[in-house]
Amino acid sequence: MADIKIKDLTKKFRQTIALNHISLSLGGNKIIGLIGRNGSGKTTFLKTIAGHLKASSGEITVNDQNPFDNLSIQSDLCFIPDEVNYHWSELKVNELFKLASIFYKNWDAELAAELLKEFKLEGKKNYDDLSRGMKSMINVVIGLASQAPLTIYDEPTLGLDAVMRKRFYSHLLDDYNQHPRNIIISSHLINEAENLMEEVLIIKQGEIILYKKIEDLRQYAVNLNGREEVVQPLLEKKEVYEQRRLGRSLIAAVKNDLTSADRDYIRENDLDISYVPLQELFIYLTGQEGEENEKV
Amino acid sequence: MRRFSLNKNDVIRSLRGTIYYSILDLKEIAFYFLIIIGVSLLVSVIGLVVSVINNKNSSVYSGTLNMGALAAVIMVIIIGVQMTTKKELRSSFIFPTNKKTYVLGNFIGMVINISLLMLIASLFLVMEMLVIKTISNFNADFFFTSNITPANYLIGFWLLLTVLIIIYSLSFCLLAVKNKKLLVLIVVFILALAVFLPVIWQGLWSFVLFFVRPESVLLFSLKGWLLAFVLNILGYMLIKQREVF
Repeated sequence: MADIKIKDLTKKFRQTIALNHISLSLGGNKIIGLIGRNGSGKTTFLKTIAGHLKASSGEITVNDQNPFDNLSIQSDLCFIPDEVNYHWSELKVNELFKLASIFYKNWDAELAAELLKEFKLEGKKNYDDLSRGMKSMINVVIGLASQAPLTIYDEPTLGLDAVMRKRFYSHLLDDYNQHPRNIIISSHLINEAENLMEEVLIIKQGEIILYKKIEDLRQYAVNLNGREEVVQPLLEKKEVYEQRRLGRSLIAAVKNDLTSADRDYIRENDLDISYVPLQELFIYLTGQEGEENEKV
Repeated sequence: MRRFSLNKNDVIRSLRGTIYYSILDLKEIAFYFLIIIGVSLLVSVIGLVVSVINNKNSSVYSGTLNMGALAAVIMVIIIGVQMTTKKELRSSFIFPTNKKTYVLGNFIGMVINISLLMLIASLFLVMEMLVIKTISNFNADFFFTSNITPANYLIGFWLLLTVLIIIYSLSFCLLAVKNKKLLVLIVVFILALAVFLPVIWQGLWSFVLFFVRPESVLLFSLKGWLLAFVLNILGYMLIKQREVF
């Protein structure tokens, strides 16, 4: 079980602030989703946890130790980057698995062989000769078979088609149920992975803007749908993410901090109310300031 | 439930993995090495045949070994140089390791790899000798002289291994220094001073001579391996804080 504590973590690359004063704790065996747009700091965040990058300021500990260049932490950690290049890229898939079996103490060779067969991957092929999707599958298999107490996937489904993505999620869940551990997975396909994640971190411009349980996130915002003159008064003191006009109707996505008076108003005026789907919520929350969400 | 556990086996596992990773690289290196010494053997045999045709009846041959040594020097420089590149660090640190096991594992891996390359070159030498023997059987006037004996072959093997390890360690260490701008400035400053102050130049030259001066095999080996260890430790200290991008 990995206990990750982050206190006021900032990571700078020269003048660019990649992570900005992040403080949080990620403990316990669970699958945590890290959601953010391209360039939001996801990879930097994951690499800092994995001990590949140093904090510019603040503190990060994994099981009370600084993970940077720390073999004790590395030995129980499997980090699968979004793009993996091995030495000289002339390794055969079987050689890669042999290598992984030496490095990872909990390596499950049976599971690796089973997945290789299921995903129709050839062990004798050179890793470099595989397609992007196949390479991603190999890395996914390594992550699963490593059985590391802390497994970190950075965009593991890049290049995978919908069927393969579904299979990966299903295997990850099965394996997690058999061997609970701490898994952090970054993705921008939140709708596909939402049944997998127990908690979700949303990162925007290097800041964690939301860290919630998935069930709380599903109820985080609502769509209100009704005649514009009825919906509009409700929006006055609310955080509005988006407004769409359809003829005389207005559909507004607002933060779900409705009071009982608001709910009475909605009921009395027969307004339609539904939770905002996670993918839409992600778009609202991570849209840049100045990017207009209003569609008319 | 998977739990974090810390034990001494982590170091051994990581070291084994790094050495195995380094040896897997040999496939690629050995491919180019084989081409170079294969061509060298072919050229050597053609030269031999031409010299027999031209009635030059005596020759001294160890062309394959010389070419093998030259090819190995080039290859260890390339490996040493690329060890500190971003790409290399990124591909090495995909697996659980740290800088200490990375440097140590690569050092051990290089000793194994270089030994294997030299054994391949030695096999080609045997083939070269067989060709020479065959030619001498067919041509009674032809005789060849070879100064290679089992004893001096073994000594040569050991000395070349030592030299190649020093070259590898030097390439690794110099490239590690390259990324430390302040250190580069200091080195350039000292070298610039050496141009104007003969004392510094003489000091640097004496330092180099201390390691390369012809002397007993044992003393040369001791100094050489000590130098290689020191260079690897220096290289480690220089990349210890390096981030893996």
